[in-house]
Amino acid sequence: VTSAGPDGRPGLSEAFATTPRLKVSAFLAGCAEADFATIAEICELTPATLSKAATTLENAGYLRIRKGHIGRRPRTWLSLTKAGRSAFEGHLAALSHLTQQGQSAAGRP
Amino acid sequence: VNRDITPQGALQTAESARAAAAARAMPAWFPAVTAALFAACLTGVGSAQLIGMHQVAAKVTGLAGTACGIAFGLMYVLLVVRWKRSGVIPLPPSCAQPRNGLRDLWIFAGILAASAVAWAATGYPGWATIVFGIAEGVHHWRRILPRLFDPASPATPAGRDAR
Repeated sequence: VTSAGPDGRPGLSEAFATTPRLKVSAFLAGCAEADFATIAEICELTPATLSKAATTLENAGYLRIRKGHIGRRPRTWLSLTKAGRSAFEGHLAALSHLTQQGQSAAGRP
Repeated sequence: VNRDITPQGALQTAESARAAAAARAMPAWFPAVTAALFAACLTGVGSAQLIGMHQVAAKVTGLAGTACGIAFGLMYVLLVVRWKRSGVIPLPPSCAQPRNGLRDLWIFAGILAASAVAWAATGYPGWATIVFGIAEGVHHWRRILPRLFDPASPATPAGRDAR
């Protein structure tokens, strides 16, 4: 579920509402594609947590899962879809907006 | 809003995760070495054309230039192998910095025009090859360098040589 932001673009999204899903999406936003085990290691997630987060994001249409091989070793590659990148940027923009609002409210007398 | 962290915390978490992925693009020495190899390749080939293909010196510079060209291609093949082994395939520079895509196209057109001018002014295609090699080498270096050193870029210097 995605709510529209203040400028009409995609805003906060339920798909990124947990830390594991946020970490996975942010990591994938910084690259074209990444291997399951590498994401789990760098984002400090257990394989089960990463698998659950990936399935949720895939069901939302934000993540693509591809099976491949490096030599004989099977690898699972994850990447954000175009919709996923757009929704994630909108989510970050909405978070940034909320942070600014909170800071200006805290600064008021 | 994330259920388990504040908006500010979520932003910081996202920023560090994104930077960790972008930091694995390439080693710090890669842009300079590939740019030098590209420029050396076309300078060697251009010099061979200027000297005259039947001279020994032309054969030496031509072969050296060709060797640099092969090394340039090989460096990219090794970079792709490195990406696959490390488990992170980076975004192409035009996606990481989309605003620079059109600018790069204009610079490339300018370099082609400068090469054509060099050819027309001297009457030797060798000079056009040399001008194109050096200018495009510098452009290539500048195009991929910001990913390592520009603080506004998704990549951060701290992790530029990771893996």
